[in-house]
Amino acid sequence: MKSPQFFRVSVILCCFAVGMTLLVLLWQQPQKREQPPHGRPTGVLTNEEAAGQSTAETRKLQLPDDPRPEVQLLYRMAVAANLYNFNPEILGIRTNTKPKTIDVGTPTHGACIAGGRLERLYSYYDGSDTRRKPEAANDWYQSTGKWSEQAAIIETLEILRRLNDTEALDAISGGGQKCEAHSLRVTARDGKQVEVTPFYRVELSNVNGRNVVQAEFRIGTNGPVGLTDWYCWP
Amino acid sequence: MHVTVTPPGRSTSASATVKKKFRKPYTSRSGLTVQQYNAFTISYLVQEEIDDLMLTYFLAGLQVTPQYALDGSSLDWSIDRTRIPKVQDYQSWANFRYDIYSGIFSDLHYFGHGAKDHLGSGPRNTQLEMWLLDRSRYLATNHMRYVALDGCNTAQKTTFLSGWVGFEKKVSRSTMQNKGWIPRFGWGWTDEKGVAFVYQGVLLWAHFNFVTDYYKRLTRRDLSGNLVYTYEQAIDFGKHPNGQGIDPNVTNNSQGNSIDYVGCYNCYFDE
Repeated sequence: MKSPQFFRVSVILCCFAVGMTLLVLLWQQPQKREQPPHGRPTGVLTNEEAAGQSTAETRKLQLPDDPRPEVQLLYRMAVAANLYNFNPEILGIRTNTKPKTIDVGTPTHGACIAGGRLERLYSYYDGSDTRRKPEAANDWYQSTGKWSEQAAIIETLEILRRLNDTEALDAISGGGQKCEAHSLRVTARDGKQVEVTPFYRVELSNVNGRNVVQAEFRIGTNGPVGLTDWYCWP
Repeated sequence: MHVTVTPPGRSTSASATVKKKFRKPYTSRSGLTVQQYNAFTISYLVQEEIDDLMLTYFLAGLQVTPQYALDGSSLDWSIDRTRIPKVQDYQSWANFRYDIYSGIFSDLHYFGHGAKDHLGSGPRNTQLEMWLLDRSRYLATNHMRYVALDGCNTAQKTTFLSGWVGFEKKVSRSTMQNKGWIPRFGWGWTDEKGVAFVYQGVLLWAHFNFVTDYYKRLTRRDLSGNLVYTYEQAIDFGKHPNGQGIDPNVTNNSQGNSIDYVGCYNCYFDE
């Protein structure tokens, strides 16, 4: 005959085990959402791999549940392209008429949707466009990592493939591929002059020479850290 | 700029005076949207339609820069189509030439007759010729920020566009940033542009649709208030609106095929 104390301990242990199991299951749920549907972008470091970057870069991408189609388009791109410093919180959505276009804004990014496709996506503060925050260029000294023009072009094509954007892929088939990466001499925080290549800008054109796809990648201290500008109008 | 160079290990030095172009920024921008009035008149109705379109281009320019009349008076968004600046008689052309020569304006949208080396038509005093740009001492160091020459053959020779904005070729924004240049952009047409069917008495809308779509795209603002599309992306949209332009039935607008442009093609109108 077991003592009542034995039963009490057994019940507590069982409750503890069930609680732990539930905790593990709940913890795994958002982890599953982080996985890109077609694998991780090649050639681009994950946020964790981009060691030595700011805390924002090492933040894990957690996408909220938002069923709105325009938000889904944006999140799909975020997963496929590893957007640099992306904050997925939706601050505003504006629908324009004649023609119907949709603007989506997050704290870090803006997106334009027309004809049911994401045609424009850009970082407010981390791209080469410094209109919104001119002093952002003061951080370009950190972009000491190396990449290659060819790798940038391959990565742009990979993004299109991960998005399964056959319309754009067909449009650029047989067209030109160009990547521009300028080295800059900038002053680091400690006053030293360093030569960096903060951005790689890719242009993919159709057979008529029209730029159908444009992409800009940001370079971190160890290599590319993500996309900062995207345009696709097949 | 005066530069003195002393080679290592030598006591002698060489010096030279270098004229640095493009480094003087405008403290502020000022724009002019002007048409050669009555240039394509078929009827008063058609001229009024052109006036309406000019008002659209004027409002697009007003998005980034204050707009002025040829006499220097300020024009705001409340004006109607009759107050859009015009060049027609000798005096108005003289005012136009003086304003450009003196560097009063940083931005220009011109609609009217054109050629590979001048704007306007008829006698020389109703034209603005290329030599005027070359002789302007102000333009030599302070080229204009934005120039749209909506007239025949104005981009047939890019030297004409270069006289306005200082570039004969397309230059990327990263090159501009690298060299510390101020963004400047100019466009025109490489061929004769028909703008109206004379006998039918109607405008060739495809031409105006292209320019309207271009400006509509160029001046689209996002939720942060900044313009979203670069010059080249706006031109691309004008050529291929894919049903999203002013005419929802148009997928491709071949009117845009003969456009040519120089300067910072991937810069924004408001930078």
